[in-house]
Amino acid sequence: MIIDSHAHMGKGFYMDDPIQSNIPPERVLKMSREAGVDKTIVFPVNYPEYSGAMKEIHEAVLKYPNELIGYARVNPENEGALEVLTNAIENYHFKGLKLHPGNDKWKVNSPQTRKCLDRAQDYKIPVLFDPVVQLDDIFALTREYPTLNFIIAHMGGFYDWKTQTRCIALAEELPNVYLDTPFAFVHAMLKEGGKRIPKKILFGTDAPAIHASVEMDKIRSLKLGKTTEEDILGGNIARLLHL
Amino acid sequence: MTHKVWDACAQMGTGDRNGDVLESAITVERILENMDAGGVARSVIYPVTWNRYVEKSSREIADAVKKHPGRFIGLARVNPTTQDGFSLLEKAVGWEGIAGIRLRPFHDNFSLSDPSVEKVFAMAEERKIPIAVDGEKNKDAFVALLKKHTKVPVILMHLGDFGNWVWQNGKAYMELLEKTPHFYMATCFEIIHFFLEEAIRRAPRQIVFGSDSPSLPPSMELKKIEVMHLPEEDFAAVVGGNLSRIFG
Repeated sequence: MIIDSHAHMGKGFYMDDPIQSNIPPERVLKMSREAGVDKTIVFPVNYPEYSGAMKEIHEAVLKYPNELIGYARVNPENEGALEVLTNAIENYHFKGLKLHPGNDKWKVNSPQTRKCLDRAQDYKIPVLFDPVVQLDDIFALTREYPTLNFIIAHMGGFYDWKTQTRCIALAEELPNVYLDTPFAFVHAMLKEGGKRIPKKILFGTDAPAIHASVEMDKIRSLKLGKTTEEDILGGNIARLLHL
Repeated sequence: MTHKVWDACAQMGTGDRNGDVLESAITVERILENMDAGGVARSVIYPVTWNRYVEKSSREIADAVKKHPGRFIGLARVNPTTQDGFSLLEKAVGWEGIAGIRLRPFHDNFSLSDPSVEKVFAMAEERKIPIAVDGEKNKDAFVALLKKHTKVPVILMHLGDFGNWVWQNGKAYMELLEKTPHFYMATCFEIIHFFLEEAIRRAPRQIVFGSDSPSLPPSMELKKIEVMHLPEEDFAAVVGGNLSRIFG
């Protein structure tokens, strides 16, 4: 089973931004289907506040229950963020939490972040952290919460091989750290990760920015062998989410 | 139908940043292996980023072109704002195996508005050779150069910006393409799929396929174009026809 562990959708709030608006589930699913992706994990594009966005994701998952899996997204500094998260998990049955301190402009090392992580830990859902900023603080949290599973997006950096080296080492050391592959564009580091932590690498696309076929070709071009390729393309995230 | 695939963007060389995964110890054999795996017939190659460019930086490129006839097109690369940058470049473009110039202001820490860059464009115009340039953070200066030097084929890499996070620039470049026949853009590292598709559909004779090998495999970059299901003649132009026209 092929699972895309990282895709965005939603009407959006910042309507003049083509990357962050007008992404209905059908737009993501068209690419997933063309590429042969069986299931796609979706979470919202950027919003100033995420309660409405959670409902959008929920409706999309209800419409395409066999193909979409929902993750919550919140800005921990927003008033009511914890309630939005709790509702998304309890009532919408979302399987994970996406956090994007860079785009949502909040401080990682804060009591508000910890409250959200505590909640994710209570519900035993993984946290997908976009690490473009405040990577050291995210690293510290992975140690502070050893029973909470963290997915570090983009293997830590788009073409920043030094950061990717650090992320691979961290995932190798800590059982609760995973890395996903969208926008990870240093082939040599992807290969290194695939060899050293084959059970910790998760295929993702960042759809609709990147077509799933393209990201899939990137994984297959690593030539890591059938078992590892299947793990990366779906097996690892399936185990992590108990699918 | 099999198309002749030409890659506008691959970097190689010894470099002087030992241990840098992207900028050192990239052999011609590694580039050839990637080309063969991706079905690439010919690649434009240029030096990796050096802290200080020396004759060897571009000489390695010229030597690779001569050693593997028909597989490569070589570009010389320097930081033209350094003391010996321009003279190094002037020398290198006269070598057999060097067919154009590569400028990377972001990586080499200079601005396209520096007067030395104007000299480089003037030299390219005089010698009738193309320039491949990165545009990150230099849009206005780039556009000024493009408008002044209308006889130089100019390839703007990465569709103007890594990933086009600055998507407004990408849109502006697309409009410029349509009224500037000597202006081309390369697909390498353009990671917003729908921007790339829009650019290709608007100006299929001015977009050239590029991979940024060995950072990314050409097969993956080709897949970006394949999934668009372009008309046959447009696909052929983008993956090779346009580039072969630029370099003759």
